[in-house]
Amino acid sequence: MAQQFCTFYLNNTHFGIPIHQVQEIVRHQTPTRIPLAESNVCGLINLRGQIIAVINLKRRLGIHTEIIEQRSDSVQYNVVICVSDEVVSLQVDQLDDILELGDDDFEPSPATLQGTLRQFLQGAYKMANGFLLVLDPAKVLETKP
Amino acid sequence: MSTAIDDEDIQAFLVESYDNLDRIERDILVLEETPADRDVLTRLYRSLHTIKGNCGFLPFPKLESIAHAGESLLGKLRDESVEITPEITSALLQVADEVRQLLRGIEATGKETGTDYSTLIRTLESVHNNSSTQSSNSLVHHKLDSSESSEATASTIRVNVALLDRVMTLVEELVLARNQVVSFSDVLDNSSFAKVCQRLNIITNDLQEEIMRTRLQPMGTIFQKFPRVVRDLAIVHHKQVQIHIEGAETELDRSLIEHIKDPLTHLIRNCVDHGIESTDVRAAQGKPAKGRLSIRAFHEQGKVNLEISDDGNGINPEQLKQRAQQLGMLSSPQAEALSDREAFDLMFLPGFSTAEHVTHLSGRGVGMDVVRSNLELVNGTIDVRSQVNVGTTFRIKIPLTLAIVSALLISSGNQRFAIAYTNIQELVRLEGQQTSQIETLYNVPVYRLRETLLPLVYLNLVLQLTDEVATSEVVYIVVIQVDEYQFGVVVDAIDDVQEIVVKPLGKQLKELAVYTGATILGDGQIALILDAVGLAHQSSVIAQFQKRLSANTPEIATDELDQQSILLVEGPQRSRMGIPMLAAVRLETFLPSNIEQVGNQSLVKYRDRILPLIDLHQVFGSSMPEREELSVVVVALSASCSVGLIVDRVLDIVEDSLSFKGGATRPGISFCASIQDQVTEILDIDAIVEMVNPHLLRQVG
Repeated sequence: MAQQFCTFYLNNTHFGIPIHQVQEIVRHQTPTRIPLAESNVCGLINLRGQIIAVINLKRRLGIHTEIIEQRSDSVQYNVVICVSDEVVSLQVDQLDDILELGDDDFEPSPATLQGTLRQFLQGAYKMANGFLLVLDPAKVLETKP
Repeated sequence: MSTAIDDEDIQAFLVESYDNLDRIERDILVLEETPADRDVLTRLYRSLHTIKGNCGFLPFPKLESIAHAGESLLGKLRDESVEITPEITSALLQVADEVRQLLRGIEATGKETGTDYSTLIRTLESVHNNSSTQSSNSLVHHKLDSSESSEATASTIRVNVALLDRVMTLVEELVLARNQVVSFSDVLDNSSFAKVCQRLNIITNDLQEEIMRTRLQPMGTIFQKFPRVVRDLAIVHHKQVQIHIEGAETELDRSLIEHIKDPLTHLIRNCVDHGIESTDVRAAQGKPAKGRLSIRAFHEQGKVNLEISDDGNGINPEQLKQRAQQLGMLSSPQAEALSDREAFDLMFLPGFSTAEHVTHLSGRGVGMDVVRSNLELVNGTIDVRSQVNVGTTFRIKIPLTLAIVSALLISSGNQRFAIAYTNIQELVRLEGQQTSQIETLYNVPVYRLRETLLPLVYLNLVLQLTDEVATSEVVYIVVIQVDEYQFGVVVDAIDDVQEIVVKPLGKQLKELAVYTGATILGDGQIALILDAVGLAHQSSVIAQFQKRLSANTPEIATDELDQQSILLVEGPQRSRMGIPMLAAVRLETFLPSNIEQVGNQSLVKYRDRILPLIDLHQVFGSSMPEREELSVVVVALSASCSVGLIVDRVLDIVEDSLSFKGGATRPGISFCASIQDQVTEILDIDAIVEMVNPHLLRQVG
């Protein structure tokens, strides 16, 4: 069965999220800072009257590098996802296409991936020019107890 | 039976059936009170009949058969003046319970659960088989059908709560858009546009108000469960309890009703369980055999008030104090000093339970502390009044709605925040010279607000917005009250008072206790709403000042008591002396001309009484210096008796564990301690009073 994915880039790595969990995409808006919040939560934005948390996805996934971090203009879009009634916005560098991919190309997460990233993945799709890593939104939104 | 039954049908069936069931339970209890009331029987019959009738359209044969058995019993009772016995009401209640259980099963699985109900059905049959005429059932059916149709045309409809919430959100957005349009109108200065804006303004306000009202629900929705709870509980405890409910029509926000349901149930259980005495005890005391439990709801000062009172044995404040001492929460002088009101407050402390035995109904680990914290979640308060052998009254106050609160907007570190107005006591503005009145003391900055020591919290430091306190010309202090403790929050600016719409922060931020939520301001920007309690904890103000009451377990109590706040003063011969902050009530200054000498005592008029003064120079035997004004530390000996200690200078307030102890150096000193690397003599207040004015101690007892 083919599935559709909303895809984007983080640090030049290609990521995707199942499209039925993506509520919408909004352009970058400066979030209101939340003092004392964890560093991977950048703040709050006002999405048509709803206040939602913005997550620095790179930090959450543990793939941020300090050098790229400083170029904050690299953040272009917010991918707003909705997982079991929780609406959260994920900051991404660059948006890519919506891709429809068949099960044939699907593989479980490559064992060679670093540990932190691996726990957030559903798996990967083989693409013509490399891999598309598929995130599990529920895992991404999991908060440590 | 069609296969096209979808979830929505079942959902609608469940909602309606639960409603009917609630009505049934209520009516059965009414029937028990007034067995002769035929109207109640008819109503009961009709409700059960509706459930049965609805089952006919859905694949729930068991439910149908139980409802049918119950219905035939009711039919009998109705048509043949059979006397209604307790067995009959119990059987009917059992029907209600089984129906509820089946409904729950259906709600969870979509199917009927597999329990066998033939016994219950047989019981129902045997209850009414004593009189065995089969009559006029068809006639009853006929009558019912006509009355049911009239119910269907009632002027209310069911609306999905999620839809209401969405409408609410949209209205909030409309309010924001309105604000922006109105601000344009100020700039444009066009009179016809201004007129339109004014209309828009009025309509939006009305709309907002009406939408808010749709979220209100009568308190009756939770009150209706209580007669049953009380009945069952009374039977278990062999007590007789009459419940009176007043003000069931009082309305409250839907989300709040959910929040107060459990605390209310707990209080009611508590009243029946511990409050109302058993029948023979009551008889011995000359009270009516039936205990009275009344629940009253009413609006007052924009808040919903709830009173739960019983005419039971009341609560003895002395017992509460004893219990607190047994648990190591209080020392005996502390207990002595407590007023009755403060003693009642003890029962809301975590880990405090006066019940000798934990019963299976109340006391299942859910204590009064949970009741209070649940109420605090919705900005509610609770207090207790009680008189031994007369009764106890719990009074709860809750705001009408949680969604909109009055808040103060402040800024700190270039960011705006809101603080709910309910927590704010007052605002203080210090300018120029006055800023030096903030004594930047060792770790605890303190401001003397009308001679009370007000610990200060710098918001920008607590929230880590900046690393250092900027020295500014003007200092704003927001004085906040949490429980009995006051503290001041220093902010950069005080902006505005606004009605704000509180929005939750979501799971990602749930561990941040400093905020209760966030709100969208008129310009579309977001402001975080500060939580007074969370802020106090974050800045550890509470930890220092709540020592007396926050103790959870004896061990924690001693730990916390070890870490003491000590008021450092300069005594005779420039010696450093310490007074435990727990004892020091206030700092005052008096002019020597105000002091009067009576016999060998110095007295000063202080508030509404005469305060005896003791000069430390007199105690430690040095000549008394000439002073322009007297610094006095007011110390409480008991709730009604205080004494003022004249010191040379107030130096500082420090937190210290007092671990470096030395023995007493001279009479009037309990021990020496090294505080800030200097030897400090800690005063023994009682001994000092004993030395100079033993008569005073005898007054205290």
